Amino acid sequence: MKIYFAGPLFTPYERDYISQCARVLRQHGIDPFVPHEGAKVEVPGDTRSRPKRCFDNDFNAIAASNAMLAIVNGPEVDDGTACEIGIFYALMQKDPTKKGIVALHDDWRTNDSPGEGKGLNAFVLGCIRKAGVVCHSLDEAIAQLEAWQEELASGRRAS
Amino acid sequence: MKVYFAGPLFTPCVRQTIAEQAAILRHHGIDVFVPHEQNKRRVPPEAVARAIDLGLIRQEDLAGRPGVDLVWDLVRNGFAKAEDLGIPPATPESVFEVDYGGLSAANAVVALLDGTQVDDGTACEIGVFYAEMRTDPSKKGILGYVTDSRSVRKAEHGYGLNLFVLGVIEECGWVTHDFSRIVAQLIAWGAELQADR
Repeated sequence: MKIYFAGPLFTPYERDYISQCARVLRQHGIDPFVPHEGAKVEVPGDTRSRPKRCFDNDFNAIAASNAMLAIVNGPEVDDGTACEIGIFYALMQKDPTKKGIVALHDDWRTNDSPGEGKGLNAFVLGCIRKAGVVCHSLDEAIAQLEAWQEELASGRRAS
Repeated sequence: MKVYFAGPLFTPCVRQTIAEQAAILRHHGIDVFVPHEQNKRRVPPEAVARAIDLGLIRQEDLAGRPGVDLVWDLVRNGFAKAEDLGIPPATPESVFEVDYGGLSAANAVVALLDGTQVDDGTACEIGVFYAEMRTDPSKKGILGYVTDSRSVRKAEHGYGLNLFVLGVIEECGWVTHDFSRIVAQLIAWGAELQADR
């Protein structure tokens, strides 16, 4: 099963963490697209703007995915990630091969308990719940992804 | 021409700005969906009766404005508590349902992009609208609006916006710090929609 791995990838440690999680996913037979792993090699003659190249690269991968794993930690959900969640949700409404969105959330500031932080944005959270679940550990997220992987496989066997 | 006005509507100052910009668009005959104006939709009819019973509004006030608006003003201005009037709290599910309804009915999105990053709710709405636009010819595009002087200084470099979010907007619109350009583009899209019909 192909999944799109969304999350903030702006610092070396954010990228390292996502790459680590991606390795675990691959051990479970899940095929994640990791945006920062895509070759960012400049192709001679490519006149596209940087946002256009980023969009083409990532949108095509979202469109080709059966599920999305999104890291939603941080004081806000990263804007790129939130935008990708919205795209996946809308595509999923018309594409039965898309199974859903799993949000990975283990940030103390944005959980439901009292204390610091403002909580997850209501629209984003509503969108995720409509299309999937919020998980609080990678194991939990993988279990959900494996369940969807099994559903897809049994769907293929049936047809 | 229906427009969904997205933005970080969490503080009074941003809500006021959005309300002012929405008023400009409405002045031009554009039908604007403003998410924070939808809160009053949670007011059930019984809440109006309850407010009358409690003496918070008078029967004759209802002649001037809809009871739901009067009740929501009471709550917004601190004269009554939502729970005392039987108004259910907003939930992520209700926020998504109401706003998604506005978004899928809209022909265009105007998105206020100010903040340390694009507000996550706004970014998510941009994504939903863009993806629906790909199969819905009545959707014309997304226009981003920036007022933060720190971002405006980087106008030549995509206003310093997240590359993916900027890429999505530029697939079907553009970003500006000049609101009159947005007004003109929406009027042009409105005319196109009329012609399509």
